[in-house]
Amino acid sequence: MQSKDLISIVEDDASVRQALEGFVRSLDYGVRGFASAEDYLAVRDGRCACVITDIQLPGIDGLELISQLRTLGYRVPVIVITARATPAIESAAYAGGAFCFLAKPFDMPVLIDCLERALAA
Amino acid sequence: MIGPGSRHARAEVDILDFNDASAPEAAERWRLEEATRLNEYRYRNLFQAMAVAFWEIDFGPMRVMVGEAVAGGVTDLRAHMMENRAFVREAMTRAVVTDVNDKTVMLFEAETAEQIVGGSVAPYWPSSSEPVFVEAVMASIEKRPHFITETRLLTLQGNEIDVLFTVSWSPESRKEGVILLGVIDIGDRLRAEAVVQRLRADFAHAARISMLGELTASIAHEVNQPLAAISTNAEAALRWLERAEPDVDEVRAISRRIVADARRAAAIIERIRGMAERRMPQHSELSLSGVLDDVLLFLRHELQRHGVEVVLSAADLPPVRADRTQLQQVFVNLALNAIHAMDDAQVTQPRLTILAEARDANTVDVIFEDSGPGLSGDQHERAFETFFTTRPSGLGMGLPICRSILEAHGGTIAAEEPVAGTGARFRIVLPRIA
Repeated sequence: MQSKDLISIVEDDASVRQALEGFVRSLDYGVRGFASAEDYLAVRDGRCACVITDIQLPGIDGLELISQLRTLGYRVPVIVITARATPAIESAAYAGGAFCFLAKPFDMPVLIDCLERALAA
Repeated sequence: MIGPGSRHARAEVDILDFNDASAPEAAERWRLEEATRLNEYRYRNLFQAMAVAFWEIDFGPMRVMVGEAVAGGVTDLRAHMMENRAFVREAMTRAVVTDVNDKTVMLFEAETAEQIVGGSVAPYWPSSSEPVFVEAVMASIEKRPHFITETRLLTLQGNEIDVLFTVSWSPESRKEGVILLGVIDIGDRLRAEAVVQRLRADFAHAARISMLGELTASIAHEVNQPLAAISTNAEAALRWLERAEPDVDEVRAISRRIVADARRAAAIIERIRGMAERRMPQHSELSLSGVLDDVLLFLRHELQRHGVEVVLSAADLPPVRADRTQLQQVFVNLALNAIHAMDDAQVTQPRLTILAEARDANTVDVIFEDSGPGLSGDQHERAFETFFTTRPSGLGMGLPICRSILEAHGGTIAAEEPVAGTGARFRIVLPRIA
């Protein structure tokens, strides 16, 4: 496991975001939390090794976030999570360049596996 | 004479009138008695035929007793009677029934009129209705021409009945010490009103359940968020504990977050349960801005899901008296209508403006305005017709039930022309607490 890779979490629900931050930190990664895609895009310091984002967000949503990152030339892997998973949303996510698509609720080992594969890629 | 003493002074005058029959007054009384005799047949017919339980009462002895109390130094007769229920019961035994009609025999569950006539009125007054008896006595003494009130009386079988109790005094009857009581059975009416109230509560409840049904997706999301946070937190806590050197500080912080998330989930479920509950309305003093905040919390995810911007202005409002659940129901219904109308019309910048203000000393207005397509001219009133709806999946029950709820609160709701843009605008007017 690579130590202190910086993971960004974009999630508008504060308690879900805090919980994810805590979990990612327990895996020994560095972590930054953002309440919106706009907040995340405002930083863009190139230090982010992987993004975990909710799809449903106020303003710019998770899929639009990937699209903007790609337009800006960032190749950072993006793990998308959603409480409203449909086959259509899943294929849209992968077509848009998502690295992993996780439907809530998901088991933590699945997230760990996604993270490790994303960081190894 | 005007002033706090006038009522008692008049009581004394009345007692004097009664005991002091001068010669011209006696002649006048004879003439009236003649007229009464001529009309006796017609009177008897009315007495028996009307669907009102009539009682003729000789209240002369009772008035003597009251007169003695006043002569003995009682200044505030009403207060004296309210504080001395034994005095009131004694006064009742001195009001003697001289005649009753068949309707009275039936209503008061007697076998024959003889069971009632000759006795006093005391057996028919339950102690809970004593204040009404006191008020009737005061009305007589204050020479009010009529006294009408709703009360409960007892039948000879000991059953309490709801009645409209009426007394009227003519100057002659006052002199003779005989009064005519009319008692109308309103049990059926009160029972019918209770049924209407229960039906109204049931319809309001059905509409709330229907709204909860529409909100299922949002509610599931709202409950799942804290649950997801809890399980993620717990997974993280396990990892900190499974380390070679368990990190107690991390686990402590995580545990606190778990407690907070569990409380949040419980609060969401409590709000839903409040909406789902089936019960009769309970009116209490409420802060309108508090109710509106709760409504926006309840709809938080639904509003966010549809990208609706909410503009709320509800500061410095006087309290209102209302049933919290039903008031929330009205606001939730209006907000959902706005969300759906804007969604159906694919409005690019959906916005819901809620403006609450105390416009005058008696009322508080709450306005809901959206940025949707609005209502056409004839829809302003038709929107409140049962089964009228502009949505394919709508039932057309929401607004009529909102109106019914508000009317039961002494308020109103109407659609009006939008102020900004072309959306729908509804104005609710609620009475302020006096």
